Amino acid sequence: MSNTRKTGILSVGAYVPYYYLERQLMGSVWGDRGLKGCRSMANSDEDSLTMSVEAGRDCLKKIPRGRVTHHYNATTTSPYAEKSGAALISAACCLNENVLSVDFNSSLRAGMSALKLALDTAASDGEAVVLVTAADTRNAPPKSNEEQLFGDAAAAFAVGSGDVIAELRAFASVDNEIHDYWRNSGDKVINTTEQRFSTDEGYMQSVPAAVREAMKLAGVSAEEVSRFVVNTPGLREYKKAAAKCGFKPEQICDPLMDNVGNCGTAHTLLVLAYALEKAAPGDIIVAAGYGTGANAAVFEVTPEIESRREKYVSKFFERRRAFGEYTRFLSFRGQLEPKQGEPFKIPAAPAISWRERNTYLKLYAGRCTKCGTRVFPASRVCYNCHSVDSEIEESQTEAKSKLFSFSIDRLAGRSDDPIVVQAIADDDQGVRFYLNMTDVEESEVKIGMDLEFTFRKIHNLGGYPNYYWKFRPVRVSE
Amino acid sequence: MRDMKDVVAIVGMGCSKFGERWDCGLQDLIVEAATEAYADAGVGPEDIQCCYFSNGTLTAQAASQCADALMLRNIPILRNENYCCSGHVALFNAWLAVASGAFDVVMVVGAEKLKDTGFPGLGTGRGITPVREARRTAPGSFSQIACRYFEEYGLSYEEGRRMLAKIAVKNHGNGVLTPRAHFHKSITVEDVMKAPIIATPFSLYDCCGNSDGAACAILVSAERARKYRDDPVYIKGFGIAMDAMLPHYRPGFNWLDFDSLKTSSRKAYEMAGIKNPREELDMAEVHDCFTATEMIIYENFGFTGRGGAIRDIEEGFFERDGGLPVNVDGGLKCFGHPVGASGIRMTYECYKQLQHRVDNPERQLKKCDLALSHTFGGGPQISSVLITGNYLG
Repeated sequence: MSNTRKTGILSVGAYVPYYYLERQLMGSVWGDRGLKGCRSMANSDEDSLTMSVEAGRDCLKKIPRGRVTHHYNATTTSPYAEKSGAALISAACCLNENVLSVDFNSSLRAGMSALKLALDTAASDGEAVVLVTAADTRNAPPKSNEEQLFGDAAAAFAVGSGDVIAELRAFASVDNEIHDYWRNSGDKVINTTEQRFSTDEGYMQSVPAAVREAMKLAGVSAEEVSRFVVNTPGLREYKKAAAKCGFKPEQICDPLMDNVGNCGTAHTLLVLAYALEKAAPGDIIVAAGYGTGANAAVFEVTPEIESRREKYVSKFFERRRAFGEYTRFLSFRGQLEPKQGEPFKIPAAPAISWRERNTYLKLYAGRCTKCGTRVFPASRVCYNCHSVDSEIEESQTEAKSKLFSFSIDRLAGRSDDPIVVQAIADDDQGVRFYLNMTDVEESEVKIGMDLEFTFRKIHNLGGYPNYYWKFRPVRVSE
Repeated sequence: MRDMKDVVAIVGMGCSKFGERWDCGLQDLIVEAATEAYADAGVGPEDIQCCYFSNGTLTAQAASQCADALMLRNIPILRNENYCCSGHVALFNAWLAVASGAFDVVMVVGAEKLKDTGFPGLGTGRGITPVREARRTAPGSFSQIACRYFEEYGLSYEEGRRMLAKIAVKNHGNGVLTPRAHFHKSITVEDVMKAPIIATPFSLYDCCGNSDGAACAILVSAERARKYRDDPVYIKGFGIAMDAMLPHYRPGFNWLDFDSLKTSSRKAYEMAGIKNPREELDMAEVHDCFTATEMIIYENFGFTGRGGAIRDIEEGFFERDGGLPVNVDGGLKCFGHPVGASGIRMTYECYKQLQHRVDNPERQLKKCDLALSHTFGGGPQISSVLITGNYLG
């Protein structure tokens, strides 16, 4: 099926976690000065899949979920070596069960590669809408520069045809088989080699090669480019690469190294989302992603940007909080083993998780068609009128809620994160929920506060990650 | 329905020392309580025709621990688990078994060994599913009552905590006079306020003891009771009610009016012929797993009006020398809360008070003819109310 309409980006989403860590603090615990700026860090209940869900849901606010036909997720830090993370994200984003959910793993270029294949999918099928999600939570050895430079974040794009906000003009790719950053199977942290070799023969070669080829294919010169978007291994390398491509400093988009860090396979996508915040119709954006070679894409921004412009990424910088404890940071990442907490009372089992998937992953509540009572979780027998199998099940993940009652429970959590806000709230359709609250300060918790749902990791009972929803305070005003 | 008032009597009871019984296994605790009950009733194991065993935490062990401890055999020995109401539900079953005429002498044994788990609390993840309630705890749930109560009646966090603290101070004061209680320590409101917070607004002293213990009762028909003793205690009313769903998920639930509390107490009052519990009851042993639980029970049981707890607590109405003494043995707070034993332990205090045979005369109420014992279990979902008296009619 050929497609004569424009193909490109329909919608943008992003996610930057609530917590960040000052690099000065990270340096000082080792008796060093630390680099400038801060890095974002996933909370103890987040991983790359939950962050992809957050970015995906952010992106889907502008696109009816029923239109999504494909979902491509990229990460190098899936909690699973075998088992689809994309399918889990599709479920939590309440996509149709017949979408093609595909996992792009291992490569730092996987995010850009997923975006490229999404654009190809859209080009070949005018009805296709592809959700691309990418997230990473990479670990580096404690005390390393990379530990300070890495950040945790996610980005998402809906790709399709028609009223796109940015049209793809060209795409180029170059491989460079090199060991500069890598994790062997089973490694918990990245390996590096001599920095000068990595940069000179890896990043500095591949990025300009891919960018030049993409610009050639698009028929644009460096001067015609409005914004150059690129990931970067450190705080400065991107400037040299940009110069080598022929770009002036003012053409370079801030790669967010001072406030997010290198967020792995999501990095270029996150910076591209950031660049689109300020893009004007007609702007040419070149986006390059490095990782064992490089990909580069040339986009032309369309007038559609005006009606769909948002602070896609910077809205997250308005709601963040500095995390104060480096040891807990290590513990959250599994790099330090704290004293174990109490065991849980009830074991998880795959059969239970599977049977409860609509409750756990999609937050389905029931609405009785006989008496109208809404209840979570959905039940076979109506709480109010006792009708059997009278409930219609509806996902509540996008509802807003108000806190009805709470307790700040100081012993309920894991030993390195003991405080749990036990929250009881009613959503805007009158469904009563009991969930834990996350990304919150004790002093903020008040009856009547506005809450939204966020998808989080709960524990690893049963030998696999168990996911569910929590409340978090509404911080980003739409 | 048959009139069940004064149909069955309790003729013997026993109660172990509660506490951190590192020296005892579950079976030792059972022997300690049952031996006292046998002697009290003047019966032996050969007289027991049916036994109900209450325990909350053993999994898939039926009543074997009870049978093995007491070497009971060839009779029905039936396990009962109904959250914190396990003890009362075992008494309920025994009451029905005697009332039916199927058995003449029925024993109830409740025992719990919480201190062998290696952990100080009841633990997290107390729900039905491993994910939805993974981090739910007992204090984190019952504290919702306090949170809503403070909001409903405009109490500041500090004011609310001070009100609840008085309940803890009262129960600690009573516990000092109770030799078999887990804790013997007088405390002040300031002690409660300064103690570490467990789950807001509860500090350590708002939470009951996590204890080992066992209690035992022997039931016969009221007609035959005086063959066993001159001062039997009669079962005058029994109400049990269970709510559907954890309160956490109940649509629109206000956390202040628990149907199970209201219904179970109303049924028990109706059976016992009680019109005004505040005036007619001489004492009550209620489920003070947390201070706020005791507070909401005052109101849901009609001991005071809605919102009336604030004033009655302030005025000491529920203290040992007040209008309606509540938890005169220290309650779950100080006697301790070995889940399966608790309902029977509370009934033990009622029994001894009604017989004017309390182990420490300082704790003996001067007038005590009609008593209430109560447990409230689960998230909470189930409530059991037993009314006993020392007279017929």
